[in-house]
Amino acid sequence: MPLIKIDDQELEIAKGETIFNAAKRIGIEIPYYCYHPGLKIVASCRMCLVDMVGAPKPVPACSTTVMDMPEARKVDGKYDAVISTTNERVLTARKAVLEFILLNHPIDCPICDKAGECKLQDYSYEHGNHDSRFIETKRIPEKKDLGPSIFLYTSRCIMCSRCVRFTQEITGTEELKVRNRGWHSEIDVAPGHPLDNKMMGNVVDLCPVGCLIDKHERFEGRVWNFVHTESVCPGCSKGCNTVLDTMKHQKLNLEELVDTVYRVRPRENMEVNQWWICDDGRYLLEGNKDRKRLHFPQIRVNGSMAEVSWKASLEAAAEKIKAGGKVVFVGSPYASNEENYLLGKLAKAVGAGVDVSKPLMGEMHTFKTEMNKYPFTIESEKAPNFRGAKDVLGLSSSNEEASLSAQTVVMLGNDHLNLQKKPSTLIAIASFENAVSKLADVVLPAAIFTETSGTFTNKDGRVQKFNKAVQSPGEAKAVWQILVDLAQALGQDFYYESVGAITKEMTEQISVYKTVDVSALFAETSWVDENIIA
Amino acid sequence: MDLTKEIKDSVLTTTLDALWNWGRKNSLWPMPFGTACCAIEMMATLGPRYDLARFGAEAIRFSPRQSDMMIVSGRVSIKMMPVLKRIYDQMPDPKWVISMGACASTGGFFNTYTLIQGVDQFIPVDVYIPGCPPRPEGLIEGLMKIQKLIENKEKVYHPNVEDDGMYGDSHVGIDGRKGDFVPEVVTGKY
Amino acid sequence: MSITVKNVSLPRGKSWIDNTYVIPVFKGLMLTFRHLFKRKDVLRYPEEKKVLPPNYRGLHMLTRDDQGREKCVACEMCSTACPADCIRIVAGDGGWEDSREKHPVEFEIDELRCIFCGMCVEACPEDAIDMTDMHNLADYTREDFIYNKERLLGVYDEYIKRHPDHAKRRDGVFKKMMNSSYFTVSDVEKAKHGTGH
Repeated sequence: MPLIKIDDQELEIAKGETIFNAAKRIGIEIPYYCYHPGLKIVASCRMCLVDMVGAPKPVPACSTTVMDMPEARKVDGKYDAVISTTNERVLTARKAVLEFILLNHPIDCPICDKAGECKLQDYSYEHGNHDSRFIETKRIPEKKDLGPSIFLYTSRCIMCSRCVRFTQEITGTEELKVRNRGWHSEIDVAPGHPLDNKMMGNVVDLCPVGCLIDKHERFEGRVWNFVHTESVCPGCSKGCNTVLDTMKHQKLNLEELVDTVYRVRPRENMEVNQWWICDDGRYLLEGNKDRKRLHFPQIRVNGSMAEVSWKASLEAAAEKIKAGGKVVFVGSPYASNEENYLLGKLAKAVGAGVDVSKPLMGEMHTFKTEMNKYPFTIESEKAPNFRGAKDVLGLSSSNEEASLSAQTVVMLGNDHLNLQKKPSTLIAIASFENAVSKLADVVLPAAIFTETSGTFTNKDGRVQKFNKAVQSPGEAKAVWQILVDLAQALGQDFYYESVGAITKEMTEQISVYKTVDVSALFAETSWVDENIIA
Repeated sequence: MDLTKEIKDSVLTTTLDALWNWGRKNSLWPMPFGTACCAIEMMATLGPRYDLARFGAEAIRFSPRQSDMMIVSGRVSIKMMPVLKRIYDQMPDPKWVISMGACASTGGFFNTYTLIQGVDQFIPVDVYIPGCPPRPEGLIEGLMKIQKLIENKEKVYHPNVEDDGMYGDSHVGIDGRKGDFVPEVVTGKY
Repeated sequence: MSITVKNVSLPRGKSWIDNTYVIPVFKGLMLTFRHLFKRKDVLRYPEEKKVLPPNYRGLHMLTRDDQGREKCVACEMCSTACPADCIRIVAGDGGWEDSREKHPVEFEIDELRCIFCGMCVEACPEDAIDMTDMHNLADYTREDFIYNKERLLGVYDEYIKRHPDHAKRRDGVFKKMMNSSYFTVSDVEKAKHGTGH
């Protein structure tokens, strides 16, 4: 184990560990552009240069490792390497590197969407010169349209080649490449082969500057106005961790306040999605923009739907459930564990049957290359919570066809269903206008996953929490609130203060969820120690 | 022939009306409600340099019952609002209100729960003056706007406040908004 | 401390003439009379107007570039810097080929909420938002004070008619600042050109 000293801090590092990682471990920040933990190290940006005693010139921290030195060559008699990240030589090197990078940079921060989370801005501010000595004309290459969702602002590029390595190592599609050399080098695609794969959105997140811009997010808002919410992607049963960036828009002097999800970004989770998400998940919410949301409860009056109050709709629903005949509550693989659990509990309380609808099945896609340690798989089961729904409802499989023939059906989250034959009474808890909500007798407008909290269980049995990011439109309510209200309309004594309370009860009731740590999932919810109070 | 109607529409009374309004317009007695820095500018307006006496409005009355134009100049907090409202109610009709400066008009940059986001939520404001604080010229401009209102015998904003005498607290609010005003504010309507 | 009574007698003048108050009253009136012939300090506002310095912070305007389009690129620096939160911008795409790719589709300032601090002008990287000397803005409704893009460009058109040398006047103020001892030269340069490359 080599013993090294970084800025007066001693530490032992493993053989093959880079100086960059060692410094990160003890809390020393070294600036970087081209380094990414998920990609191969190329040390091309030279931003991470550090000074090493004995080295003739500064060395790149991201690619330099330390080995055990013979006794005679140890520094101060014991260190295998003595590294400085802050001395004069390093600072000068950083300044010089930044000056080189900025030679051809257009500095169009006012119109660049990356401004605010741009590494070039941050490091120029922190480490750079405030004036350029470059008096010649800047080379401004043309911007390019790389494919269906990415623009390339070539002039902003700093040639870190992260995007190129991503298409080589992670997706294996190799669309991007570096064209020309030296001063003239630029990122490009081969003619006739646009950047078009199921993970291309990740290159936008990878780009440390505003060179690669997503067409969906262009000019939508400034990043410093965004509010970040941790969430889980509902696109497939993989359960990728995401961050939802939302923003509030207020009209001056008016009461109108709209908040929307502007973009979805991956959140690092080494055991699920590493640093990436696929484009299916990334643009999932874009697809919802064209669809019609249900804003108000509706009941069928004389064959046509009429918007009514919550009270009237819940009473109508309760009446229909009580009316007799076989009643089945159909859970959803698209709803959270809490929502399904509550549905099951309510069904049990009113003596109805329980079922879960089948998830939509799609294509399975695996990105596998020789260089990638973690192959990224897009699962074929296009629902986030089929396993969780089955667990909490106590089912082993879906029995959809049989339950839809029951006299009264209460359906939860039924976007994917193409209902052929309408049950004689259909109560739909739905978010969007779809085939089911058009046929239903009572429609209760529900929030989608961005508008409520809860947990999803992915295909491996990992329970992950997603959080509320935006307000529901109209009078739509979270599903668990609808179910509590419905239970009360049915004369059941249901009461929960929050989603966390349901999760807690669920972990106590469902045997396979006993190991779930609720306080870790809902960190903000503190639990009263009943023993102490009593 | 309805004689009353004829007389009402005759030249004599209309001219008398105009005469009354001419009198009102040129002898506005302001009730200063100065709570912050705008009040300093209001004092400057009354001083010799800008000389509000040129408009006949130099007779500052600190009793609401003797005044007919209120100048709300400065921040108004939730605690101050009942005072302002009562003073407004105590002013005899006809009365006009100038909301002077950003804070009185909209809350300005004090967008907090303690501050009224515009006094026009509770009393009818006739003229708004932007600025932080407005120059004395701005206040004079506002006064001229009020004079124009009086001349045209109209109020741009017709309040729906019931005249309930000196104790106006039971009917705080405008436009039929009755009851306590505090919930209106904390609901974040403005 | 106990309460004590102190007898105060009226101050007496030096002579009986003063005590009659006749002469002193006329003396006082004389003083008033003299002021009739002195220089008047009153600014008769609607007729006379004070000439304000070129860096006076009045109503905003959106400046135009040489092609007559608004200079603004919708970077939202002004609305970020605004302490009163009175600026609202919605950015739009000007087209792939256009030199002005990003531009404001909507640009609103609530002049009634605005505190005229000039932060937006300081923050603007394109000199697109500027302030005029217009300050007599009293009006009847709150909606009258929401200035949209067209109105703000209109303010510019009107202002530039009165002051065609607006940019030069601003520069003159900078020069004055440079000559004064309060600012160092580098401060002024920084303020003028902005920092950076």
